[in-house]
Amino acid sequence: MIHQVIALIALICGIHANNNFYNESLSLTPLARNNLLANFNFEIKSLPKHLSYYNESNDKDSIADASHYTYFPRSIGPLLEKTNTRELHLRFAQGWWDSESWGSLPVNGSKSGGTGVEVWAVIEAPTSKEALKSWSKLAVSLSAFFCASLNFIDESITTFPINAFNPDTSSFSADPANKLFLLRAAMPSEPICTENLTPFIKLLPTRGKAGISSLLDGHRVFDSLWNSMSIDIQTECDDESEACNFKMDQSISVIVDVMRSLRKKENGPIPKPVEGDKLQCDKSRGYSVWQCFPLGLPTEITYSLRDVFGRPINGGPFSSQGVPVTVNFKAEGWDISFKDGMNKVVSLSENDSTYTILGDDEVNIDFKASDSSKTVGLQTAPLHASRSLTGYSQDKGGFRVVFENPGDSAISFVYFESLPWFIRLYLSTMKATSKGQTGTYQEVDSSEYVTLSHYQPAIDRKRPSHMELLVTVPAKETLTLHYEFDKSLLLYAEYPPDANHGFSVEPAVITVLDTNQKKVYELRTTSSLVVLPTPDFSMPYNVIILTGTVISLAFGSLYNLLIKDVITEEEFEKFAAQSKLRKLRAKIKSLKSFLKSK
Amino acid sequence: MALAETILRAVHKHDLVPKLTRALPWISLLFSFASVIWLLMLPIDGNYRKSYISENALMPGQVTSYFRESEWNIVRGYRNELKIFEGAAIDERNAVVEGWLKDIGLKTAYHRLHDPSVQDNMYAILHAARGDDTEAMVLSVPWTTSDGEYNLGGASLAVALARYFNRMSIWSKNIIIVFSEDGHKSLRSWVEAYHTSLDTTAGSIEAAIVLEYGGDSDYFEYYEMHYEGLNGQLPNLDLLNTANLVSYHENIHISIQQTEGEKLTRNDYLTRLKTFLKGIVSLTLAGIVTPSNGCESFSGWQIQAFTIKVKGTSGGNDITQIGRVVDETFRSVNNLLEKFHQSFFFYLMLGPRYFVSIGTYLPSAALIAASFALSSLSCMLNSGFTIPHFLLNISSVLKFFVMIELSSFLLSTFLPYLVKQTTDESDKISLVNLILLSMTSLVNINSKFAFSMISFSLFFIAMVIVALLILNFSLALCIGLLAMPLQFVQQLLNSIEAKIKVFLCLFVSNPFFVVYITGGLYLEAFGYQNGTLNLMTGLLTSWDDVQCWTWFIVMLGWFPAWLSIAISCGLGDFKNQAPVSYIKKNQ
Repeated sequence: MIHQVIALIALICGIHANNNFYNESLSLTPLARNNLLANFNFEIKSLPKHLSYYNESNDKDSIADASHYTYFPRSIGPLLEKTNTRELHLRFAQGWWDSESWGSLPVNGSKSGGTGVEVWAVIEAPTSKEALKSWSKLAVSLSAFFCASLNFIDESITTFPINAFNPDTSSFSADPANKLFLLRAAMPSEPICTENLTPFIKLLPTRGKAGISSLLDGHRVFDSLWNSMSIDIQTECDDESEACNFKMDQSISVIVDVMRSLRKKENGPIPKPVEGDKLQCDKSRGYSVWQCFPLGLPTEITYSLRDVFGRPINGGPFSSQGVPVTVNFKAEGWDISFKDGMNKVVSLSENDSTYTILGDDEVNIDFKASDSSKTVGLQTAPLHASRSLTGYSQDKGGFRVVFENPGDSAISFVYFESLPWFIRLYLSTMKATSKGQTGTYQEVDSSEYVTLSHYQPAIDRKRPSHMELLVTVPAKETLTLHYEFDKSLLLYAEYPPDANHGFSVEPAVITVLDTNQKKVYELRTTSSLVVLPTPDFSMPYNVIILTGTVISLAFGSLYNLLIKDVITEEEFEKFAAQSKLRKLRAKIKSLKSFLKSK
Repeated sequence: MALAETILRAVHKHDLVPKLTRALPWISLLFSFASVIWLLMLPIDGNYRKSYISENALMPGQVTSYFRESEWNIVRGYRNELKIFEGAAIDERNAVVEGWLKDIGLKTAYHRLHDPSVQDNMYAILHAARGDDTEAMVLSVPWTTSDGEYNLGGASLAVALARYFNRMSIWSKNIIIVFSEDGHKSLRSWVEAYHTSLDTTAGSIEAAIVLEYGGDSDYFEYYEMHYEGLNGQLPNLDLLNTANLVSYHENIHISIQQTEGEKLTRNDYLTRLKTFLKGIVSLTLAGIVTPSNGCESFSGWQIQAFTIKVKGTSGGNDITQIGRVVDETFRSVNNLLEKFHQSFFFYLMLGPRYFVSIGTYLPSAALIAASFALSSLSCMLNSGFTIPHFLLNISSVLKFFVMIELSSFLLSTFLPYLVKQTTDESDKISLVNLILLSMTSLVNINSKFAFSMISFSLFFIAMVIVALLILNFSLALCIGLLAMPLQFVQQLLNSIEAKIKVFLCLFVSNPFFVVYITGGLYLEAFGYQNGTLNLMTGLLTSWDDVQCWTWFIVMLGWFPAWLSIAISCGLGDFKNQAPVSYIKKNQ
C-alpha cells in the first residue's frame, strides 16, 4: 500500500515537473439540501518572454513572434500585448448565491462574479487617455471573442477603482515612464449562456475533449442553481532574467440541484406530478390514498457524476498527465468511489479525499449517501450583504443596503458601487441604521461606521458615479445604509429597445479586508432593475398627426379668407336674396299668399 | 373662420345670447342627463369591447400546468395539518407554515410590525434558479378571508404550490408567498415595508395574486375576481385577461363584481349594466370599505394585482384548478421581458371578457363637469346682478372660500386623529356630527355675495371633477352625480317660497348624508354589517391605514363647496333685495 502511495506521489510530482504550463483540477462538495458544488480549475502558463511596451505607431511587428505561447491560447496573447494589458479579469455569472445555506463563496469569492459580465484590467499606458484607448480596444476584441456585448463598454460605464479591487502590486510595466491603470466595467443585464461557455472551453488545450473539461456540457452547466465562470490573466516576471510570462487561471463553479437532475433523468424535463404510489408521504400524518403530507428531502440518495453532468470524466487531460479530483465529504454520511473504464473501484476516505485520474479511460464517480444532510460545513460567509431598491416613483428612488456580520469580531470592508450617469446619487441623503442582537433598528451616526474613501460624481453620458466606502460592522451587528437618487430623462434615441423592462444597475462589490488591509473575501450584491420614466414611443406620431390636422384646418380657413371677397352685411343680404333657395322660398311664399288671398 | 363668422352673425341676428342665458339651467340639466344616458349607453352592443391580450409575450394558456393528480393529495395533506390551527394565533400558524416552506427550500422572513393592533407578517421567497434576483411575483394569502373565514384552502394551496414551483427550473422571476393577518392593513403595511425597510427582499414586484379559499372543501362553484385598486388605480388589463383566459380553458366561471348564479354566464344588457355600475361604485369605495379584498393593498407601487375569491363548496371545479390558474398566470408573467405597459390601465369591466376603455367612458364625467360649469355661469348671469358686481366681490369670495377650505382641511386632519384617539365605536359618528354642526358661523351675508359664493362653489366642483377625471373616474363621476342637486339651489332661491326645496337639495347633496345612505342601504344590501359606521370609519382611517385619498377629496373638494353653498343659502339675506333677472331689467 505504502509503495503504491509513494509511486502515486512520484507520478504526480513527475507530471508536474513535466508540465509546468498546464494544470487542471476539480473539486466536488456535496452541500446541504442535496446540492452539489463543482469547482473546475484550469491553469495555463505561457513561455517567458521579454516584456515590451507596444506602441501602434512605432513597432508594428513586435508581436510577430508567437513561439512562446505553448498551451497559452494563441488568440489571447497578442491581444493582451497589443493593448499592453498586464492583468485581465473576466467574470460571467448568473444566479443568486445563498450564503445562508451554502456558506462562503468558493475560493473566498475571488473567482465569483455578480450577475452578468464584469471585466477589469491593468493596462500600462503613459496617460489615462491612452489607457482608455487600449481599454476600449481590449473590450471590443473580447466582445467578439466571448460572444458578449462587451463592445458596449465605453467611458460612460468605466471606472478606475482605487481600493476595491486590490490590484496585484506585482504587476510590471515595460517602460518605467509608464503608469499602470486599473480599469473596470460591468454589464449586469448580459445573460450568460452556452455561447459564452463555448469560447471559454476553446481556450483550453484540451478543448473540452479530455480531462475534467469533458464534463462541461452547456445544458448541464446552465441548468444549475448558480454558476460563475472566471478568467484571470496575470503577468509574472522574474526579476533576475527580466523575462515575463502570462499566467491564466480559468475556473467554473456551479451549484447543481441533484434532485432536479435525477428527476430530469427519470421523468424528462417536464415536471409531471409523481404517480400516486410513488409519493413520499409522512404516514404518521393523516395518510390515505387521497391524502399525503409530503416528506422532506430524502437524505438517502445515490447518484453518479454522470447523472449530474450527463457524462463521465474523459480521462486525464493528456495521456501523460493526470488530473486530481477532490471530493469534500463527511465519511459518516457518505460513501464516494471512483470507477474507471476497467471497472476498477477506488473508494475515498475523508482524510485522503483526492484521486488522480490518469490515462484515457472514462471515470465516473459514485456518490452514495446514507445521510446526505451530513456535509462538510462550508465556512460561514464573513458577511451577508444585500441591496434593494426603495420607493416607487418614476423620478426618484433609493437604495437600501444591508450588511450583516454573523461573526464574533468586527469586520471592515470596502464597498464599491458604480451607478450609471442617469442615476443621480445624493450622498447627503445617506442614513445609517444599525441593529444589534436585540432585533430593532436604531438610527446611528453613519460616520461612526462608514468612511467615504473615494467618491467621483457622474458626468452625463461621460462617466458613471463611482463610490468607495470603507465600512466597519461590529460583531453580530447588522448595518443598513440608505441613500437616495434622482432618475434623469434620457434622449429619445438613448432608450434601449426594451426600455420598459427597466435599466440594470450593476452589483456592488464588497471586498472584506483583514487587519493588514489585505483582501480576504470578496462578494457582490445582486443587480437591481431601475425603472426610468419611459416615454410612450408612439407619441411622436400622435403629435405629427395632430399637428398635421391643425395646420390643414388653419390653411383651409386662411385660404378661404384669401380667395373670398369681403362685403358688408347689407350687400350680403342682397346677394343672399338672389340665391336659388331664397328664390324658391319667395316663390312658395308668394304662392301661399296667393292661395290665401283667393 | 368663415364658419365662425356665419355662426356669430346668426347668434347676433336672432339675439341668442339672452335666450341662451335664460336657458342655461336647462342646458346644464341636459348635460347632467346626457352624462347619465352616456353611461347607460355603454353596455349596449357595439359600445363596449371584447377583451384581448395585447402583450404577445404573455402567451396565456399556452402551457400545460401539471399541478394536478397527485398534487391534490399534497394539498389535502397540508390542509389536514392546517385544519388543527383554525383557532390558533397567527404567530403559531405562521411558525408552522414557515417550517414547511423552509423544508421545501424557500427563504423565509418576518415582517415585524411593532404595532399591537396588527399581527406580524410572514413571507417566503423562492429564488429563481440562475435568476438575476431583480423581479418578483407575489402570491398573497391572508389568514382571514374578506368573508371572515379561515383561509384554509388558500394557505394549503399556497404551500403545495410553493413545493410545486420549487421543482421547476423555468422561473426567471422570484416568487414571494406572503401570509398576512388579513388583506387590509397588515398586507398593506407589508407592501410598504417591502419597498422601504425590509432586509430580505427579492427585487421589484411585477404582479401579485391574492388567494382567498376559505373552508376545507375540495370543490367550488366559481371564483370572484376583484381588481379595484386605491385612488382609482387598476391593474393592467392584460393581467386580468390572462387569468380570465386561463380560467376559461379550465372551464371555471368568473364572477366580476359579485355577479351570481345564472348571471355568471348570461350576457345581456341588464347584467352588463349592473356589473358596470357596480364596478364604478366599488372602485369609488375601494380602500374605504372593510373587509377588503387584498388586491388594493398592492396599488400605488406599480404592482399589478388581483384577488381570487373562491365561492361555493359543491360545484364541479376542484381546488387544484385554482392552483393551475395561479400557476399558468405566473408562467405568463414570468414570460414578460418588460413591465406591464401594453393594454389598458383605465377601464371598466362589463363582464369577465368585456370592457369599456377610458376613451369611451370619459365623456360621461366630462359632461357632468360641464354641467357644473354651466350652472355656475348660469348662477352668475341669472342672479340679477351684473358681472362687475361679481368682479368687485371676487376678492372677498376668494377670502371666504379659502377660509372654508382651511377649516375643512383642519377638520379633515383633525377628525381622523380624533377617531384614532377614541376607542368607543359609536362615539365616533356622534362626535363627527357634533363638530360638523358647530361649523356654522354666524355671519350676515348679502345676496350679491351669496350668489357669487354659490357660483364659485359650483365652478369649484366642476374643477374638482375635471382634475379627478382621468385619475379616478369613478370618484369624479360619483361626486358629480351626488352633488348635482346643488345646481338647482340658485334657481330655487329666485322663488322665495321654495325654502324647503332648497333645504332638501342641500340635505341630499351633503357628503355625510350620502355616506349615511350608501352605508345604510347599499352596503348593508350587500351583507356588510353596520354599513354607515363601516363606511365612516373607513373614510376616516383609510389614509393612515392604506393611503387612500378619498377622505381628503371629499373633505377638500366636495365638502367646502357644499358648505359655502349651504352658508350662502342659510345666511344669505335674499329678502331685502328681491332678485330681478338681469335680462328682464334690460328688456
